[in-house]
Amino acid sequence: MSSREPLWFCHECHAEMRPIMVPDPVCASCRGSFVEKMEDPADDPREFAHPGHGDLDAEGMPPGMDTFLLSLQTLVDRGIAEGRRQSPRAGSDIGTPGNRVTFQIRTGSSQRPNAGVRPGSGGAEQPLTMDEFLRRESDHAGSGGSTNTRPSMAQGVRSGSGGAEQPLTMDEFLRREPQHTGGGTTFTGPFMAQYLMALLGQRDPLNDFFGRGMGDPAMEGRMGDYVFNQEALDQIITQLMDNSNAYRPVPATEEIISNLPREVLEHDSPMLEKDCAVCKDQFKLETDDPDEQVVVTLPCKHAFHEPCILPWLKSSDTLLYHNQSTTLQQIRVLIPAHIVIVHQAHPLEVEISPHAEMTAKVTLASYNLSLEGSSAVDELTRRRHHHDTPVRTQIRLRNRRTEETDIFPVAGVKISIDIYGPSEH
Amino acid sequence: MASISVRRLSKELTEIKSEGCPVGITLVKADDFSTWWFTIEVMGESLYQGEKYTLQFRFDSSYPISSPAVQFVVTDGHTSPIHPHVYSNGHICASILGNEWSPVLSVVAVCVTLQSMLASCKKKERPADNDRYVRSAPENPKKTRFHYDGKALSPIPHQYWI
Repeated sequence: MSSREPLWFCHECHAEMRPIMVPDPVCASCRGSFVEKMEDPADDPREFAHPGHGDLDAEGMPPGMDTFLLSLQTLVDRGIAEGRRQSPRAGSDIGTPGNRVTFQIRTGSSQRPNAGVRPGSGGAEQPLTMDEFLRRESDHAGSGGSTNTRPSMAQGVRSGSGGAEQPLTMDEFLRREPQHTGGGTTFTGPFMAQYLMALLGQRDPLNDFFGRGMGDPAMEGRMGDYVFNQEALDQIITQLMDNSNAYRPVPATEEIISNLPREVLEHDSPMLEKDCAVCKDQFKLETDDPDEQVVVTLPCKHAFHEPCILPWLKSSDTLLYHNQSTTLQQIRVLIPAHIVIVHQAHPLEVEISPHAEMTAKVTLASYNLSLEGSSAVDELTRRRHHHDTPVRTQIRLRNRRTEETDIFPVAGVKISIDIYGPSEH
Repeated sequence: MASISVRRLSKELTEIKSEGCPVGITLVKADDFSTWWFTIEVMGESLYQGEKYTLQFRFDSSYPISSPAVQFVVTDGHTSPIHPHVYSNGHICASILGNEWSPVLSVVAVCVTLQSMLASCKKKERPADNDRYVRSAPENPKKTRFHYDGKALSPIPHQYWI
């Protein structure tokens, strides 16, 4: 092969090939578009090995393909043994008993020579397409019509029109499966997929293949990043939920803690009639702990002894009397001096004093909720030129899913308000 | 800081001794500031009419910032109530014992909540994953990561991929 025309490398299937121009270059093997021309020997994309795909051999086959073939061979042999009892398909001399089933691998344009050849067809040697193979399997299991003594395992080949063979995408392959289950030794889609995943994960494929059935659901997560059944998907989602902040308390930051209003108890303080809900003691002027003269008020207007509430906030940034879902961290403000946040249990109002630069960005961490039409941002920036009045606006939300509008910020919604300023001029 | 829990628990204990517990709740034993026992009974018409169960509370030094470990006693002839959120080993799946715990709650408040949890039960049955859970459950229910739709998940061993 001359080196006039450089080969291209496909990052999706790792094949080296010359691409098909349709008109943009596309991999000849898998039809992927992530292809790269290998023109600079110093910058060889093949060196860019993904972890786990280490040692592909010269033709880009994953390791263990031999064992893969062997196991397929065994399976098909079993199938053939049954098939032998059937009458051969009319018009061809295929069904001679004793035919050894062999395999031929095709990757795009390159062909592995002689892994197997269709015997007895007396003419051009063409591998059976995957489609024919699977169809025959179900035929023979069902009606007992034709046999297939010459399946060949193409690396996902689709029988196109006029014999042009195009590689099947994994998705099509798996989807095709249900039409072809005919019992017998059909190679089921998910089964195949699981096997391939095992190969890619560089585990012992035969052990996976025969050793365990659909596997222990807790282990499914190890097979790369793929799942093939509902159970495994549930397991993954559960694990993600477990680790999400939705269930975990988040500590309050130093900034938030130090910004909470504090009051030192005086003789005439209205606090003196109230209790600190954490220690269940009244607010008193005479206390053993001098720090207890300082009373901290949370945005919900409940007050506590400073040493009582601090440990709570450090472990969990939430309000005490309210359902744990309203977090102080909802309001992350960059320029506290210019902002007054009025935060009652639900409505969230932002007030920005005059002369502050109005570049406000309100972001929401929520799937279904979005900021209402004339959102806080628009309000704030629209009033940018009226520097002599403070700007106040309520943040309202809209539920994208139910189309409910005018919702106050509620449980679990994290809102960040970033307000920048003042500017230099 | 052991003093915060001692201070708070002695306050609660004083209050229980002076004002008593709500109906159906009785203090069995509170000899120290680490383990307390209560009995609860559901009053009036309910699936658990006439049944009495024993609750055990365990406190650590950061109570009430940290929640108490609460479970039904199942040793020495005691049994746990059959309820979709109560496992046969006495562990309880209740949000106020987990992510909805707040220092403004108290031991009595927890008892009352559990009492009403039993009272509002429509069907006496064990949690769906009861057998699986009790086989591998930790001794302390606080170590279990519960999902508050009523199902318990055992803590995921670290060698599994997350």
